[in-house]
Amino acid sequence: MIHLENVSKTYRIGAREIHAAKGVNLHVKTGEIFGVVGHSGAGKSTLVRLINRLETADAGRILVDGDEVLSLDPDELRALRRRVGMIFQHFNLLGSRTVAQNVAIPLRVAGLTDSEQINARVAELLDLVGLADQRHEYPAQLSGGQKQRVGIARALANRPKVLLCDEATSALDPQTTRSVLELLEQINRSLGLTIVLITHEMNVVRSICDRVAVMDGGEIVESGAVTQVFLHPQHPTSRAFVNEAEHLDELEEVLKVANVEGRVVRLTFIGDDAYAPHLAHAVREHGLDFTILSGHIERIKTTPCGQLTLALRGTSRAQDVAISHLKQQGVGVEFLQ
Amino acid sequence: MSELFARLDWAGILFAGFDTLTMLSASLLFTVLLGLPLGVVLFLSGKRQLLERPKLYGALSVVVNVVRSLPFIILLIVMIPITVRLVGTSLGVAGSIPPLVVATTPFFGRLVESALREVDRGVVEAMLAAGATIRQIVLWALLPEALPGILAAVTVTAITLVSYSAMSGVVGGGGLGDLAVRFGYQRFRTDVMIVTVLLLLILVQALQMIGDRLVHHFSRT
Ligand SMILES: Nc1ncnc2c1ncn2[C@@H]1O[C@H](COP(=O)(O)OP(=O)(O)OP(=O)(O)O)[C@@H](O)[C@H]1O
Ligand SMILES: [Mg+2]
Repeated sequence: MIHLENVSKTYRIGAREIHAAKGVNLHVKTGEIFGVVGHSGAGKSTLVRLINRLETADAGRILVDGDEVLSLDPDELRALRRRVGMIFQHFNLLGSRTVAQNVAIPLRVAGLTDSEQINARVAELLDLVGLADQRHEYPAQLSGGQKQRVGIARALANRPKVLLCDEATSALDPQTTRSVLELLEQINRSLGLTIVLITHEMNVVRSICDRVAVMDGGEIVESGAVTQVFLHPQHPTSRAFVNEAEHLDELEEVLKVANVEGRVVRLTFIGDDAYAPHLAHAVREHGLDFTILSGHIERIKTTPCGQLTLALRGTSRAQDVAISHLKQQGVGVEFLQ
Repeated sequence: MSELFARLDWAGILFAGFDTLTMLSASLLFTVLLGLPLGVVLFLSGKRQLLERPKLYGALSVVVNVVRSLPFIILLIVMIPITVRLVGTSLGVAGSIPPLVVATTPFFGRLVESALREVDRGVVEAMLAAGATIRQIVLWALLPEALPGILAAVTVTAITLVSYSAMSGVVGGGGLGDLAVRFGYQRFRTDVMIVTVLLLLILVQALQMIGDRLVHHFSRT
């Protein structure tokens, strides 16, 4: 659905050059929720704005829904933008217009003039986002979560194939964030909409994304399935994000305080394995002995997964047998010490 | 007290007041009609805006600043030949409208430009992302969002027009200003002076009140 090849964007402020995107390659599949995570200034907003050409790339190739974005003329570009919805961190609603009028704008932009048709579609959209009762209110009268729902309704007005979300939940409290993310996920499932979601919160990625790219200094430093990046982050930036989300920073502290000797191993269980009694089995059958240093079981989107960090005890022979057995069962094994 | 105002020609004052209102409303109408597009063009062609055109912006700025820096009384005299060509006379109500419009249009245009600049860029961004044309962005987003600011600009301009129109009385423009100069000043008619000044004061107050009400009505935050 979205394809970026070697895309670069440089801003010039006087003599200073800022490389907001450096040779970015990205492939977003139809119907998936793709997350882009990175620290402030990493170039996330630039990346998403390159997709609908709110910023024009200096080099590279951008394909969106079959269109070569960089070679569209103004009319074609506007047509593409109607097929690509966008929502924003600060909602960007028209304060002078009611909720219904805000949602109607893209319909009028697309050339719809029949007010009955417009009203019917607006009602449909407001139902979808749960704001039917607020249609005559002005944005200033709404809460942040409600404003973002108006933003979502507006972005979906012309039945786009892609929805771009730039920090759509960053101005919302955790509970409202969850409800907006649930709405996005529901839309993704029911409409088959492809979603590109930009955020600096790994927890947003974990709760709804299928795949994720980690950005740093204008580059994508790592990308892959969310389970993969979450459980086995390769790049330091990814690791920092995961640790932040999982509160794993303490592990090193734990190792120091617990004064652990011998082998320390991290076991990763994905899918139904997370609930299978592999470890109990290893204890019973192979006489494995250990102490638990840290552990958690959670869900990444809909996939259950668990990670346990153990300090192994007992004979190294028993340890080896137990470990190889766990590996055979498909449990991820990583030696930390 | 009643003696002081006994000799007043109330009918004359009424007519003069009427002339002032005519000059005010006609000049305001043309000022808005010309100044609003001027403000939009200034805004759009400005730095980092939708239709950034540094040369156009620079040229318009110079013209606007030249007219604004000219004292109105000078403009009034300089414009006499043009005024005569436009409305057939440089005297009376008709003769004072062209110079009034020329004097306030650049002023109003600047005010509109800054009202448009106050509009959140994010709103423009959302319109662009929805595939809107620049025309649609201006008509459906920028002008409605800037409406309170534009109404405030209209109010300030109307009040400026009242004082300018009083000044145009000096060159025979008609209206309350004309009355004040010819009778109140030149013939030492204190009664005429007091009444005309009071009427102008009431007019300005009324305009400010109406303007504030409208601005308040259209502010949604
Ligand atoms: N219009 C612009 N002109 C100049 N520099 C810009 C512009 N837009 C962004 N930049 C710079 O490009 C870099 C990337 O910016 P970008 O907004 O894409 O980052 P981001 O990852 O979205 O950050 P944040 O999380 O703060 O929104 C930053 O260093 C920023 O200062
Ligand atoms: Mg950003």
